[in-house]
Amino acid sequence: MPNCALLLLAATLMPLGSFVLLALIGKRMGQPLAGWVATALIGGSCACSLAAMVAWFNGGQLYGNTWGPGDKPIELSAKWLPIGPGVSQDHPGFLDLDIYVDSLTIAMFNTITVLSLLVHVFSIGYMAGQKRFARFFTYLGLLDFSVLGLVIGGSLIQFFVFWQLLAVASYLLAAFWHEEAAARGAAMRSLLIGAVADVGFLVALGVLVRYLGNVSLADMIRWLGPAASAATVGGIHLPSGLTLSTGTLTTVGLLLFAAAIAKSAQFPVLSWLADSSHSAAPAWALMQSVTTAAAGVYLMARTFPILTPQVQWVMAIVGLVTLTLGALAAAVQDDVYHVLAYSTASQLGTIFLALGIGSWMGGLFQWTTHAFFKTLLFLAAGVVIRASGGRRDLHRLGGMVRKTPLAAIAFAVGLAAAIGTPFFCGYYSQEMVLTHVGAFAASAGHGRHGWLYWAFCALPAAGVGISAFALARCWMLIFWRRPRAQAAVEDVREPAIGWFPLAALAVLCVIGGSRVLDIKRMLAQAVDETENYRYVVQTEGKPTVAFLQRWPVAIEPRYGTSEPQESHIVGMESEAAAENEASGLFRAIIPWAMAGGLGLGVLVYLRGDAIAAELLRFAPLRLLHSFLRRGLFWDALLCGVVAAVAVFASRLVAALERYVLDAAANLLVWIVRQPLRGLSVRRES
Amino acid sequence: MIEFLRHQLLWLLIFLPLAGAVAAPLIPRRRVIRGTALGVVLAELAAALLLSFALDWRGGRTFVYGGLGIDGLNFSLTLATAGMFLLAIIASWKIERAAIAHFAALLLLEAAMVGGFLAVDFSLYWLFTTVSLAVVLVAVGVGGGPQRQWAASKFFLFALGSSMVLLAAMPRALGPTHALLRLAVFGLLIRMALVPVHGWLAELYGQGPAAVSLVIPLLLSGGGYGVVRFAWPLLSAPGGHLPLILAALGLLSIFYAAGCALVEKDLKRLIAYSSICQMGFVTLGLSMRTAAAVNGAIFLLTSQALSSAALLGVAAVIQERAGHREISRLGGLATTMPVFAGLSMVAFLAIFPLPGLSAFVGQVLVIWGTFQAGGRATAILACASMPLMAAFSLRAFGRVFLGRPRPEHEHWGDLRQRELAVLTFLTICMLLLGAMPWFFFFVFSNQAVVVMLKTPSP
Repeated sequence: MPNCALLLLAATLMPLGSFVLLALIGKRMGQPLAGWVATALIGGSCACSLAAMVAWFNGGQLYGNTWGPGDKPIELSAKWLPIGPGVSQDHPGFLDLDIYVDSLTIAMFNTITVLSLLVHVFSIGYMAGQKRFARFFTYLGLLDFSVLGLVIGGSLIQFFVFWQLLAVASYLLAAFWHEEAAARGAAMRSLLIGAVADVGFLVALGVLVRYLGNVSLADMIRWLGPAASAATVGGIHLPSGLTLSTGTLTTVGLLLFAAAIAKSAQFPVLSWLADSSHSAAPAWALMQSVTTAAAGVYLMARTFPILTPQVQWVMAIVGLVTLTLGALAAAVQDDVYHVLAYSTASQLGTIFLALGIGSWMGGLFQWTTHAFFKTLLFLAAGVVIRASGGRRDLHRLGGMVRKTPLAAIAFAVGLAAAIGTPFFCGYYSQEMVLTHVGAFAASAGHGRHGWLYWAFCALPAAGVGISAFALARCWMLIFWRRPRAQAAVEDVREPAIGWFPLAALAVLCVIGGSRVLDIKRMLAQAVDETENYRYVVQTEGKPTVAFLQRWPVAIEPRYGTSEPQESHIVGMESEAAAENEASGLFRAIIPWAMAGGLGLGVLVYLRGDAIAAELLRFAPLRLLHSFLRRGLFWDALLCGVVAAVAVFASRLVAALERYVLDAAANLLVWIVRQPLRGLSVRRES
Repeated sequence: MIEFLRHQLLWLLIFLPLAGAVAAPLIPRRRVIRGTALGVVLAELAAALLLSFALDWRGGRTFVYGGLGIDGLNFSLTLATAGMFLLAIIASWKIERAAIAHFAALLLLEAAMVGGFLAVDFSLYWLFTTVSLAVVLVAVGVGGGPQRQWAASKFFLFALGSSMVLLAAMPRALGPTHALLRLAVFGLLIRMALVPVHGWLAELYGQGPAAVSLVIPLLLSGGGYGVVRFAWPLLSAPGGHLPLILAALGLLSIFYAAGCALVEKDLKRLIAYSSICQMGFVTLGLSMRTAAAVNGAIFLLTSQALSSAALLGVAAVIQERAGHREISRLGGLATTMPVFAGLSMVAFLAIFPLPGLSAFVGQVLVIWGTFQAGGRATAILACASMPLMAAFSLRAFGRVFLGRPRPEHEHWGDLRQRELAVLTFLTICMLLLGAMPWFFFFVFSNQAVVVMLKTPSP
């Protein structure tokens, strides 16, 4: 096994070690030792990831293949379950577990472990004096292990395994203060939303297992990749004699995306994230930036090569809707965590939009920078909330800039990065995503599909403005002016916790998008690696469409026509031209949108929420406000309805059980026992 | 010499506990008898491990001697039985009432159950399993909870029915596909507690004494093993409706039991329904006749015995302290009994089913096998049952363990040593099975299944 893979494996197992160790003797270690042990282990994991990055850049050989940046990924497999014959199994008759390492894996590992390490350090101070101190770190270990296992995994079955583990770890963290009924209920709701959506994942997995026999990424790319992106009329003919129709492939993609929707809080169910924000701030920071909510993006990024254009369409539209609704909802929330949670949903929507229009790099670049600034925002908010004794209502905070100046600066840095201020990390990724989106809209809008495509450009631009407004409002209400609720603010002071994590995160927020870390280059290399793979494995002829083909769906519908269409392949010249146009558009519009949102937020809330209250006397605004504030909770409602239906059906079944089947059996027993009755009575007397 | 031992080992596995059961009444003192029983079950476990020398795990052939046999299909079940009786003896270590009868009954039950799993001859299978049903009947009827007589009567009716039907199918003159044999399959379904003939299970779980209830799930697995071993020619016969009926019954059981479990108030009844769910998956898998599905079904037989036993152990711990097992009257145990809560969480997550714990592997293999067999709608329905299972298991866990601790529970201590030992052992087994299933399949079942699938149908 190459050193690189070995190091990553070690990096994955260390959080598991932390989980097991703390689960067994964490309580005995007590405060703060348990926290330091967990931190040391995740630190080890972080060191291993860094070492793995070095090993990856050096490259190497495995089974005659050169791996390294821009070359090929590392693939290792071990047999796991007997599945019967399949199309291309490394171990005939078996479904494998795989390790798959490419530049994306390396980038993800480093992002996750570094952020997790900082969050651990922060938690030691943050959780000091709380009950179940060790338990908190135990669950953090499980969370880290699940997400690292997901990232190192090279087959869909591993994704599913760790996906479920992630759901359970999130449940445990969301229900951490389980004495509160609200926390329990919200944790259960979010778990069940995920469980229902995971039926889609399971079905997709079943279909793929049936057709391929093995569901490693390599196999999926090899057999389904070309068919997903090129026009294949009549489906894919597999050597096993089965034919996988493109419709089925589309269904598989949609089912996978359904699971990702639930995990990443996308459009139909985007409020569970805010609904279940009862846990501690560090846990939320991790869950929203790099683990639970972010895992949906990872799933779609990895299965990207097998997604058909139709699936990408759906993804783009869901992303578009979520990014708008999420930004709007974030702008009116009362709870700090809710603002941040909706902003997460909105950001993830942007990422899905990017993936949907084929900007794989842009989406993942945004994922990384989002992880940096969202962690920072959550931790800074956590400091404030802790300092003010658990108060989360924006209207009862205020004036915290004097009490918690560090948090105020940190929040401002996170805010600047989040809205894409130049020289902060968010700027670079946002520029990339929005340029691609603009190019998509431009090249499609000039075609015969008309002006509707400009929504793909206009809504993200508006989203930037609204997000800027929402976060500026949040900052102003927390930190500016004087405290609105006078009581219990007297003894408020900044807890002596974690200036180091905050400072480190602030640095990451500044350099995260630039050439210093050069995530962009790693992602570009990841694209090359996947493409190399495609070129190598496709033996018959040259691939027609590249992996990174952008805006794949806008130009022509690919399927449903009798012959493959040529016109859907956008030539390089027009691609470049469209990108140029979009880039100009970006420079012209986005700074205004951002500055406008920011300025509006600052101006309106300069005097507390007085101006906002005045504005809300205007009826349409008030209606919109209350809809956005509460209306998006309809998925909790939906969840309630589904649960009620399930419980009702179950009651019917239980009644059937009790009054029909069981009653019949009891009657029989009663009849049989009649002659024996005298017997037993006599014996007892 | 080794050949001789190998041959005798199969019968030794039955005679060892039988001798213990016979000798038990001769020993007057409780301390001695429990020591003897422990020695016997340990020796039995060692002998069961030694069986791996008789196992042909590369070729998948059955090693047969005198009506008993060992291959990949029953090795894990035999091992699990031996392990489970060790736990049962540990659990009944401090028993006061009728200790001699109790230990003798346990050892007799072990002999019968091991015999049932080792039998490759149908009449021997009938004999052993009928004896084991009878012993359970007596053990519950005498040593069970307050409604033991009612539970025992009910169990008696169902057990009698299944044994009679099986007896009717026994004459070899009937030929391999006689109609009576099809009927006999339904006799086995009673033992697997499939809906609608599951009525006996819930009350048996509810009323069974703690130590005996650890091994009651093995009865279900015994029924499933009977289908695998003896009904296979019928299932694989072309053109029959039997697989279709079995698949329908399996799906019905899954949804019916999951629905009942979702609103069940009694913890032990809930566990019974979860067992029925898993046996539904077993039936579904066996009816699909693909390598993956059959492997999954066989895996589930073992996994069900482990996870149900662990849950019943959890329920027994609660019942011993609270005197009841009503979910709504419990709560907050995670605060008062953290160790117990951790181990229970593993047990509940095993039926969640969380990947990495045993049940998931079996269920997902059954689902994939169903997809491979072309039953897309059936497979999707089976997938759709997963959130129900997640809901009922976590609902029960949340109600019992999370929340504010109740004042009446505060004086409860955490697990005692023996309880800890039993639950830890089961937890480790579930983790091993779930995280390293390749070991199970590679060593135990896969080759045997391949051979079984290749067996020409009559």
